[in-house]
Amino acid sequence: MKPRSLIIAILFLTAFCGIAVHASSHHGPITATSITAAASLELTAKDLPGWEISAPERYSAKELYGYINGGAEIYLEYGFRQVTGQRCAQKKHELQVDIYEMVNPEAAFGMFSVLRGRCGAALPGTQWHCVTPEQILFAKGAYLVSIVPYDRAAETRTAAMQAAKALVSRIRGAEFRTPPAFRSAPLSTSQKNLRYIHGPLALQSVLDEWSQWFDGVERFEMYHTVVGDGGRRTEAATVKFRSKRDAERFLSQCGAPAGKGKDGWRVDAQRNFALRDKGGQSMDVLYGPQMESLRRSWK
Amino acid sequence: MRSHDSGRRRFLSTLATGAAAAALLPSLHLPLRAVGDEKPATNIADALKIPRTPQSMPGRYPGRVVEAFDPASVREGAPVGERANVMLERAMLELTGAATLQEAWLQFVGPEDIIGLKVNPVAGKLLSTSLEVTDAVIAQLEAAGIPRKNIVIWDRREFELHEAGFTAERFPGVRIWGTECKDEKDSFYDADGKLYGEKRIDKDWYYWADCEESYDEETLPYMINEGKHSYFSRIVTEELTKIINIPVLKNAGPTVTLCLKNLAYGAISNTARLHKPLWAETCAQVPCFPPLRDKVVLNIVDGLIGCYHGGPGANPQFITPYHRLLVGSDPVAVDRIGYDIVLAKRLEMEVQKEPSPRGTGFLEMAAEYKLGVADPALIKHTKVDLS
Repeated sequence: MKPRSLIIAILFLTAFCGIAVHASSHHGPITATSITAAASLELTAKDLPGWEISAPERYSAKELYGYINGGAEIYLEYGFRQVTGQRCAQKKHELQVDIYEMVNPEAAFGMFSVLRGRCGAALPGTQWHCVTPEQILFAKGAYLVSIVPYDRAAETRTAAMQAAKALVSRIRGAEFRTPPAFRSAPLSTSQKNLRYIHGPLALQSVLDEWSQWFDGVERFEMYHTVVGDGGRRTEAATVKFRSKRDAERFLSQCGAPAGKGKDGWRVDAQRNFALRDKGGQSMDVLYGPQMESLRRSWK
Repeated sequence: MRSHDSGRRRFLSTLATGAAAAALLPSLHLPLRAVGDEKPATNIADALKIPRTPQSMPGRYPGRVVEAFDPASVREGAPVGERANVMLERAMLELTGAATLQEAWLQFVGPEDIIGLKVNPVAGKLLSTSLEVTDAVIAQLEAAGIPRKNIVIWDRREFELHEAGFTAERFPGVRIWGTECKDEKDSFYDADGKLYGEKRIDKDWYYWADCEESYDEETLPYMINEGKHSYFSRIVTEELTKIINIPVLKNAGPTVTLCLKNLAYGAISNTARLHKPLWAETCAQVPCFPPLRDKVVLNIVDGLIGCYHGGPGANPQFITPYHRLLVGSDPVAVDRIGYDIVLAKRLEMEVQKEPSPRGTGFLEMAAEYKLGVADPALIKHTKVDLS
């Protein structure tokens, strides 16, 4: 049985897809190397003694649509190579493990950042993890891993955590590294909110309020975070466009004032909005009541 | 539906042409004709010319929605069949004002009808139309005198139905049917190399749109055909006389995938080409065609368990027990109430900061096509609290 239910996730639809539009530049056939790499990550009986572990099922980017109905498009937008799914069972208890091999650590982090919810317990060995009673999700290297316990029993949850730890220790490769702007003040404190948005599907999924600014812009990369909460909630982002035309379109649609100050920022104090054009196709954006203080300290 | 034959043929000769280029971004925009919002042309005008019948959408109760709420309807993450049955019973009586449950159901269907239950198994076991709500519908239909053999559970993909638990073993005597299907060897193709799904679409009925997409060999079996036509499934054009629509209470980005989406994308082939340039239009226009418009008599949104983010796929962190059923004959009004419930949850969980005007565009469009009532101020929304 295809564990579509577990995999998945996101997005809408089907709703907006155009499956291959973004995928074409990323995915390719599953190579011998990638199969070997994936095989080395599979769970075995040693990882979960007493549990039956199914043979892995693998699906390439081309097969993803059939595997994740209604959820494939956003993976393809980020850049996806293959997914390996395994089901683990012990008597009535079951859990599903899906290992998504993305094209690079940024893509794995990006998907993680879209999927994570309100996270609880810690998972040692990777910075980017989200543990909830319903799912363990983490990104490490170019991999995004989802482990879903199918019931609420303590033994299932324990096994899920055991499987997660085994996979964390097995996955090698460069960890996603936060861009410099988000490693130092004033934005370094907000890493738990950091998102990497790579195209319109991700944007509509997690930041629809900004979608109208990107109307007609297909290719962009954005790191977005939130500083403060409640009445002080302020958004900060760095956006990189693929073309000057897209950058100009964004500029006109986000309502940035025409004139810029000596520090390079265009400020609309009334809206608490500021934008810094960093040379054609890259921009910084601040939006919210802390705009002024963040702008002064964001070098 | 032979009475619509003249309408069928007319599609072949009166297709609109001269399309605009596909829009670049998802089409959650509201107006079809907003300045600068060019969309590919479609054959909606042909559908609208076909005379309506007394049972055309929005059916017997335009602008009416009953919301049944029962906090005991989900226990340990699973729907409770008994409670689902009571919720449905109370909602049906409230909606119809009938003295008995049998009378209530017989307002919509009769023993001679072949009744299709349009479920949604897309997100697998975690987030599909629940077997418990489906059980309740079947039990109440049977109690109203509908023979079990006259009931069909259907969707686009037969194998997805099976994976979500809609099997012959689980629902003995009820037919399980999908437009796209495989054989026992797991092949989509018959011995002649023809897709099984091709035999299950009706080329006399189609939604035409001036946009297309090429599919690779892995994707084609899920689409059945390429080109500018999306053909209706024979299940809706030929086999069923009535349809009861049972979607799941789910978000799709900032909007929802409920009654209209479940019907529109569930009843036709070649849908991937439509998502990007015409998502809202497809949701509003495909149900305007008689095989859906004149056969869907009731909508029951399964909101015992749904999601507020990450939909329409099943992302466990965002799955939530809503403990609700929404019932009405008007799919637009039901969708509007469902939208408000999902939006409230999204705002509460801070996955969205404010309502998005893009979220309800397809509903306003559907209202313009007279499929139902989209304005919340005009919807009579009755709550039945079973706490």
